[in-house]
Amino acid sequence: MTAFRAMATNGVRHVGAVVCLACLPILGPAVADDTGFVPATTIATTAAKGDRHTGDAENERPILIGLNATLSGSVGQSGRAIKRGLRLAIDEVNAAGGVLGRRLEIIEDDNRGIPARGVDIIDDFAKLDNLVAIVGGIHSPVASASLKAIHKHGIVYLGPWAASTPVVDNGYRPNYVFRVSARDEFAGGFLIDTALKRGFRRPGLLLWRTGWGRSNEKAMTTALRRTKTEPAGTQWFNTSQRDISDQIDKLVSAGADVIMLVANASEGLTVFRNMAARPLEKRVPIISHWGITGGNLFKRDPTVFEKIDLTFLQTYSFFEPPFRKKSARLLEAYCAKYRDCGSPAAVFSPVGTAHAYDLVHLLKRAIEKAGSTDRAKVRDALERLDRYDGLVRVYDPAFTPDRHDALNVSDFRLCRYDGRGAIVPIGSELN
Amino acid sequence: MASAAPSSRLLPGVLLRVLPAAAIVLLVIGFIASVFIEDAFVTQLKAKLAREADVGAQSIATKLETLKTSVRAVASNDLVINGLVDVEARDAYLPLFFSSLQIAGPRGGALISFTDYRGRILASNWKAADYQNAPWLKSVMEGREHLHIATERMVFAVPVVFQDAPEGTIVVEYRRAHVAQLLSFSPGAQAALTRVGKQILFTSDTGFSDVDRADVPNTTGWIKSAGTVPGYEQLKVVVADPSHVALAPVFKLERFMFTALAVALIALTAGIVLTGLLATRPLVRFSTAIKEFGSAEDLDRRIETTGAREFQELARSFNAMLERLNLAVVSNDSLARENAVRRDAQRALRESERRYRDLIEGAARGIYVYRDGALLYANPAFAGLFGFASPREALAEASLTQLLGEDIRAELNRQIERSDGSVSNIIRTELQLERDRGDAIWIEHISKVIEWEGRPAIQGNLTDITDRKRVERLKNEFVSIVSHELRTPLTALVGSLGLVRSGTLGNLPDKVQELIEISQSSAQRLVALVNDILDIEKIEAGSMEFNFEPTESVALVHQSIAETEPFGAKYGVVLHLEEGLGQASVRADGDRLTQVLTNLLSNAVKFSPQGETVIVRLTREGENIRFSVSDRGPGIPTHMHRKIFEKFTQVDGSDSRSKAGTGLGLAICKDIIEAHGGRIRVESDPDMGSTFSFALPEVNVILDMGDIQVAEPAKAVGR
Repeated sequence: MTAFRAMATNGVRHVGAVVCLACLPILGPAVADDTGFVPATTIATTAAKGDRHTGDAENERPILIGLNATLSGSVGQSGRAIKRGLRLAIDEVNAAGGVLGRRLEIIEDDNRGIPARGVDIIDDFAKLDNLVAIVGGIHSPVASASLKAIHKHGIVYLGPWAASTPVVDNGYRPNYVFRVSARDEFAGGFLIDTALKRGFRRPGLLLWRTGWGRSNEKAMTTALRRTKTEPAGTQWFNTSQRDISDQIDKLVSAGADVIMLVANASEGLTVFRNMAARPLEKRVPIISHWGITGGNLFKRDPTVFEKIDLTFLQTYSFFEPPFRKKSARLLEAYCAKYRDCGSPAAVFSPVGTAHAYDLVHLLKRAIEKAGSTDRAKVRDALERLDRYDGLVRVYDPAFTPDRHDALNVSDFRLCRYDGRGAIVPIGSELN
Repeated sequence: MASAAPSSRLLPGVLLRVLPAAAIVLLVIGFIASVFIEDAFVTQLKAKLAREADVGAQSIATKLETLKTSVRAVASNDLVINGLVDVEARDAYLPLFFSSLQIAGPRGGALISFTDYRGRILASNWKAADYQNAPWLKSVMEGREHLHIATERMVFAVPVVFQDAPEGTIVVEYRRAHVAQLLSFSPGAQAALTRVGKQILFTSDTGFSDVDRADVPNTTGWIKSAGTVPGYEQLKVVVADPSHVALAPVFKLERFMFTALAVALIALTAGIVLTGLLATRPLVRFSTAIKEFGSAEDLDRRIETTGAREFQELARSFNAMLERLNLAVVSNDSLARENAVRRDAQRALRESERRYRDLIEGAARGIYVYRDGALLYANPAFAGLFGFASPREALAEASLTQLLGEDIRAELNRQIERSDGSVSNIIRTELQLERDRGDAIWIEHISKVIEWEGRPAIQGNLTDITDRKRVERLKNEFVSIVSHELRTPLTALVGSLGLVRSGTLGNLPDKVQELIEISQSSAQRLVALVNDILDIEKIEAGSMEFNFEPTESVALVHQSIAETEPFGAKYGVVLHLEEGLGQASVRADGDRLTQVLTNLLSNAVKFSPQGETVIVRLTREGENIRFSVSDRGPGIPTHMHRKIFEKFTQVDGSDSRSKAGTGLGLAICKDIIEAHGGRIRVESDPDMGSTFSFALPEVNVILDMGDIQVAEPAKAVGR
């Protein structure tokens, strides 16, 4: 019920799907295509009845996965991609009889990229005793801010996107955070290595002034040091900053031949516009972390991408999937379920969908291994999973007690927007 | 009033009537003026205060707007927004940022906080408590700004927008002193005040702090004006000046005005007293004079016309009135006398009328009055003349035409027309009328124009002259017969005597010769007498014909002298014409005029002593030519001057033989000259000789196409 209060305080815009489940058809395409939520009232009733050890009643109640992501705003697309991955996987699981005989369901709340909201949502979700795990969103700052609450409540937190190293290496024992996503430590290194591989000698670091930016600064600095590369400098920009050209100027003036960008969609677009606005000879290529793909930038300003050399990190592409059969099957299900899909190109923020999809299957296996929805047991089970042939990779195993990051640098690739805005991998020679 | 002296009743009366009214009017004027002055001044003052209030309100609005703008700037600062997300590091920069933040408004007064979406403090420059339960939080998180102004505290909260939606707030608070400072303004007026509702936020004058508070009666002694801070309807500003200070100039002006009015009242009183004194003095005189008239009954007295023009006018009017009064009294006296006289006159008039009526009625002559074809009056004689029983019958049954004939009627009408309303000459006519009885009568008809009942009419007098006519006819017949019967044998006798005397028939003895001569002379005298009698007869019968034509006077005189010269020579008298007139024509019958001149000349010769000269003169008198014949004879006594022109008259009968004449010559001359439109006269003194003269109008002879036209003489000549 706290969730309701919070949402009420938050205003109608941010109520999200929970309150508005009944009015889904009215809300329009952005939400209407994401069906299959458990009505909040049902959840509440179920929670109130909650006696997690009583047989039949317990079996009738769905197992909830709480989605605590950014579902609106400029990177709202990231949250919706995650949700689609969750949905598709849950549909498969439920179609195959569910978990422990119980259906899986999603409950969601929009944290809008605001840590305070994310934390409040954790508090709210934690009160739902049939909620077994929380799936996070794109924002590392929200994830980082949530760590305390996660561990206070002892609730499994699954990361499909936010890449900040400290989110996983958070110092909590036991650690409730598990991630199928890039890890900045690796990503920073990968991006620096890629830049050097492409022949750039003086990368300039352009970073978001948040924990995620600092996480990447650390990773990139480490990589630079390792490769004995002297960076042109590091510049920081703020959330919602409207003009970042000054920072770009400083980096280019300092001799940067490539910009290493760590940004989310809205600030990313500002950087791209500022770069595109420079004279041709003063533009430098941008190699970006994947935060920019959390929103549909191409649709917002297609022309800007013709003027800049932009490549960015991805971990998965339906164009060049590691396991074609599995990818094709999922794509088929995706396009069957969502009308806006016609081709791989139409799958927005593909990493979010892919990671979330694999996380649900891993969670299912962990619950089954734990034989319970007990959060601590599930957490433990996650550290002891068997090999699983996932969509993104073969998890053998996905996590260990010392390694809560399922992906590594071998999963990374560099992509770009094609002429229609589809995220496509660039030449394999760069990988 | 009646018994009081005039001087002592007019003045108090005027004063009593005028002064209170004037005082009231002046007071009312003063009161109205003071009200207007005060009102105008207060209006102006209020306008000034209103302007100051507006300026104050505007300055507060500006301050608030500046404050809001700077708070909004903080809320949209990207470092601040970044703080929403950058949980782990924000403590490194947000506190620094907020502690260094300068917000518009009183220095150090702004308490600034940055909260998350639930009002939890993220950063603050003071020890702020969470705003989680702030009533405004919901509204701000819906995107609205919040401003609360109260005496103790002012709060301004602005949403911090992240990704197009509010995700936090910037809250600025001010405490009492700073609220006052922020909402202060300094007008030109003594007191300034800013309030929300009844809460006073700022006041520059504690003496004015109660203004507009419902629980305290409106502080008197202040003139105030309120304004609203634009954009902040709840914020009112009031500026005020103490009225005793603000209205001091008005009070001064009013004191001056009332002093002036009092002076005016005093001046008015003095003026009235003075005017009263000036006015009453002549009035007293006047009144006294009137009183004297009343007692003295002397209407011939007059009031002195001195003093002011109005009093002169009054006196003149009064005198004029007396004049008329006097006249009225005088005529009143004479009226009775006049009436008596008039009565007498009327009586006399009636008597006279009666007498005249008797005269007329009883007259032997027929008298009538005629106008416009009708007989208006006829007397009994008139009726009798025509055989009517009474005048009434004559008037009723006969018309003038019937009685007197159409010619007379027409002539009478002409006479009236010619008279032009004035009394005309008498026209005398003789008529022969045939009466119904068959006999004919002669009537002398004399008509003249008279005024009858206001209009011209003809009065006709009829006299029966039948008898006279008969006598005349008999006489004329007699004379004619006698003349013709005498002249024919006389002519034969004269001729025969001439033959005898001339000796053609043989010489006669002297004695016979002498007798023959005497006989011839007597016969010739007899012929002359007969001729004269015939002439007279012709003239009187109206049967003498004249042939008027322009006749040269000098030639005429010469001819007359030539004819008379032999006669003159016989008496040893010379005839002489004094030349000098030159050419002068008169309208005349030459033969007749010659007859007159020769008659006059032969008379002159006859009465002139031997050796004397008879002088003929032709002189111009105006438009006339005067013919005069002067002799040196014994002259004619004055009493004879008229008589000599009568028939058969000579000056001295005893002497008639010596001066042979018929006694008809001058009568014939007179008739001929009168027939020419002239008049013959004599000027004579005994021993000085006589001058006979007559004048005839000169005519201008105009030669035109060979004929001679003669302008008609001005005067018509009767028959």
